[in-house]
Amino acid sequence: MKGKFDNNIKDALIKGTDETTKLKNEVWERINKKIQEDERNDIKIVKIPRQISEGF
Amino acid sequence: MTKDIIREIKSGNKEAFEDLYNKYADYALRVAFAVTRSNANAADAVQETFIRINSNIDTFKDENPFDPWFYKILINECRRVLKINSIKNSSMDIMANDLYLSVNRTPKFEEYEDLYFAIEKLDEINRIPIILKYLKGFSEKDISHILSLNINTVKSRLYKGRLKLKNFLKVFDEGWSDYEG
Repeated sequence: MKGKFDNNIKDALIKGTDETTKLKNEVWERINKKIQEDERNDIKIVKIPRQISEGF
Repeated sequence: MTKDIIREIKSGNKEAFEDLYNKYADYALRVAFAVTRSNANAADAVQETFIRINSNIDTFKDENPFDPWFYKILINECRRVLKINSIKNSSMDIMANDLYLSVNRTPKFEEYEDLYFAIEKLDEINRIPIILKYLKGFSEKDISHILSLNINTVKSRLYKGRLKLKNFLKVFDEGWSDYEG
């Protein structure tokens, strides 16, 4: 009896969250965009001290 | 398989990171949605989890299992997103974000719908162990590691969670007003 109820919980969770898998591609695009932004920001951080030192 | 992917990511292979995403994203989104009860929050939590994985992969020790490490980060991100949004956003904002993400928030299924609704109504301390055990199939030992809890506490929370779900199903026909989770 416990096993049947456990299986029902599993099935309910799988069916109840089925729609979320449609977000997969959208979230991947967001991750890529964020990583690229972070990489660009890292490059800027490296360049700032050099630009300041050149100004003096 | 996963260990090979991790090794490739550590050596700087960017395609391996996409392989890892393709392998883990489906269930990460399912778990995040079940924990946060919102597509917008789930998307935010999964996004931040993979960004953290990408920047901290060197701290992962190859001799350890990857899944508990991954889901520990995911659950922490879900909690962080929930905390931020409970301060910043009203429920209307979350619903608007869900519409923007073009996915309907309400689960569209009939079989087990009452049971899923009952799981959504559980308190976080019972809901998260139930999700990790039944949706992802983690052992009680793994759940205790992911949630930084004693294994007996995990067993107790799972037992009480199941009991609450059974009680809910019993009172469902009598109406929601009598049910307190």
